[in-house]
Amino acid sequence: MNFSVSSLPGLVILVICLLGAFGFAWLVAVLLRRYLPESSRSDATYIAGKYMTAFGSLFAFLTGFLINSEYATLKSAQSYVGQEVAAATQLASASATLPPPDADRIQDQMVVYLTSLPGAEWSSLSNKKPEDSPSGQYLSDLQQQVYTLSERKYPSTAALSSMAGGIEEMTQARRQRLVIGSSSLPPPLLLLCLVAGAALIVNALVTVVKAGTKYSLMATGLILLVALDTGAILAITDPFQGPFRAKSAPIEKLVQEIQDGRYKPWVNGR
Amino acid sequence: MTKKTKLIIGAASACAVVALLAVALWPSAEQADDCSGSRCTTVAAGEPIFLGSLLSDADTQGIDALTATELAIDYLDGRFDGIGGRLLDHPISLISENDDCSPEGGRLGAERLLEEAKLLGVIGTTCSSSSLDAADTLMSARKTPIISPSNSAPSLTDAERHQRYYFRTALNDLLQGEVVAEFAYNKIARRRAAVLFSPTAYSSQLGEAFGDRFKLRGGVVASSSNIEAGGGLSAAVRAAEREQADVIFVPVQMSSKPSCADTVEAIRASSVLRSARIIVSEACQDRTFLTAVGKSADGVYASGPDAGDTADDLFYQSEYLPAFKRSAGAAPAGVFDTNAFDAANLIFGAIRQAAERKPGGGLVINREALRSALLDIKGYSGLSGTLDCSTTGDCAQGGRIAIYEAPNWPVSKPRAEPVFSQSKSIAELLTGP
Repeated sequence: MNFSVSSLPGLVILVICLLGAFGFAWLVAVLLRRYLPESSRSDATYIAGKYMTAFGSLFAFLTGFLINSEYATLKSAQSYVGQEVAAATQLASASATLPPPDADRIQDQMVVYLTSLPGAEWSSLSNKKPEDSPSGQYLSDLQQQVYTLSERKYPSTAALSSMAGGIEEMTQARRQRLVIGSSSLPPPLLLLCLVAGAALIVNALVTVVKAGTKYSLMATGLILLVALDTGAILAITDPFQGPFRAKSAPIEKLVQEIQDGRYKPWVNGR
Repeated sequence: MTKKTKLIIGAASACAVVALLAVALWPSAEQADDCSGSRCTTVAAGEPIFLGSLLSDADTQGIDALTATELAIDYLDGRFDGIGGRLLDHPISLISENDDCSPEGGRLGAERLLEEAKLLGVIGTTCSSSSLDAADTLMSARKTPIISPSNSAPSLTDAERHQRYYFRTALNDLLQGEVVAEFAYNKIARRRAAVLFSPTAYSSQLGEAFGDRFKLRGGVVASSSNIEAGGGLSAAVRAAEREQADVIFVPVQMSSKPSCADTVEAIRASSVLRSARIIVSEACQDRTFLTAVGKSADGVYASGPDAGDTADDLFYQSEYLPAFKRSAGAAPAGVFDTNAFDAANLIFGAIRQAAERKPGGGLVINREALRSALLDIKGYSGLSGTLDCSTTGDCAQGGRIAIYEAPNWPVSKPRAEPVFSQSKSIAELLTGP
């Protein structure tokens, strides 16, 4: 499921959730005052009070489960990014032993591939259209460069083996990233969570309906909590976009190191 | 709040605003300075990167160097397939001019190349005289790096007159002069030397370097003659006869008039100099010399870079040499082709280091950064040897100079064994006796 709202900045998601929760609460409060007779309010408050724990627990359980599961997905995505960077570092280091024109070319191609990740690739993963990303072609070009070298006589066996290992691990890590990118939050689960949140808000408002508008404010904390939890779920649900996404800093750091000549032993003082 | 307190608070606030504005504007001012005027070159997405070659089309060393430069461009895609590769996703446009092996040729060629305002580097010149106070000065004035594969005259990288953007991958002739002197004095025990030179920067300075080092060992430079002066070649040979020279050093190019081959033939024709040993320099270490002189070339020594290390290089053997043969129709005729291949790759590497990549694929290249990137090169394993570019422009800080005896020259027999070979560094010579 593609939650386009999850690609919005964190503050915007928060505002949307707050407006949604408080708007819904206001509507419920109006309806209760209009349609719940004065005479029934004592009983309704009493019954609603009994249900508070059950609704609260259900909502807490569902949001806790979703946040935990989405956070685990985010950590996995971050871990695969780390693996990919480690493999790319291995490839860059091994390429340093090649004749300079070959090392330059391999590292140029690496920069092209790595630079495309936080931009084009992550955006296409977020849109569930990895085929739109040019990164696959860039990685394939890089593989081709490495395999072409392996057919030649002059690179050392150690360098070739290390480069082949690096490119293989990069490919595997990317494949895992694509799998994570293609998975999404199950819509029924999210719907259930939203229904639980709504039920909790309604129940909380019923408990204070007899006390009047002034006391309805006591439910504010709970409505706020529902809004924040829902916001957190929406924000964390896409590991490649939005406020909680896999960090691209390790990739950017490696790109900078390659461009600075860190993996070219003949570039001094970089 | 008193009036005085208000005044102090007002003044402090004004100072704070000014300070904030200064801090905010400072980085942009610095950036503007970095890229002001011609110091930066912008290459738009899809636009080619312009490189130049300023090589002699009448000299086999120049022709070889041009082929090697084209091969370096070809290999940017990792294949010698005859299709030019791309650098940072930009095609390379090579503009070729002839250096004519003369100061005028160097100057004119450089001016023509500089008509392309976005020229980012030049491979050239072939002859030292085309660079000295000609191409090196013009290119440096326009902050365009020029890397020569075959200039070897010591004065080009002399700290007193070196031009900032001039570099070379060829060995400084201080080294060749030293090794030839060592060979002549200690290996073949000669004591009276004659130097026959042509009036070019290369020839006269190499002759001088040899003479200085020969004298330092106790030898005598009995005659030093310009073969293009009044009496010409015959007067130069007569001077060597008169002084009973037992070793004759001929640092003359094949493209000179008279050429290196003409000079050696004239010496061979002299009965007085029959027992004198002839040593030619690397500018004469050329297949065309062996063909022109024929059997009389046998026994002639040729100095130059030791080809052994290059011949053993697997990349050279399996990729570069076959590609060179495919491209030129024959193996390199001279000894500087690998220097040109390295020179082109040094420029590519410097562009990579200096280029600021813009979104969309454009590049901004600061020319000072380009020069700095060349100066950052230390321990580059090139085909011609290990390169470390110094502030005076020498990228080959040292190397092995070998003496070969004809007909066993590496230009005709790739696996030829030298009769003498010695490693020397510029630092060693500048600090030693």
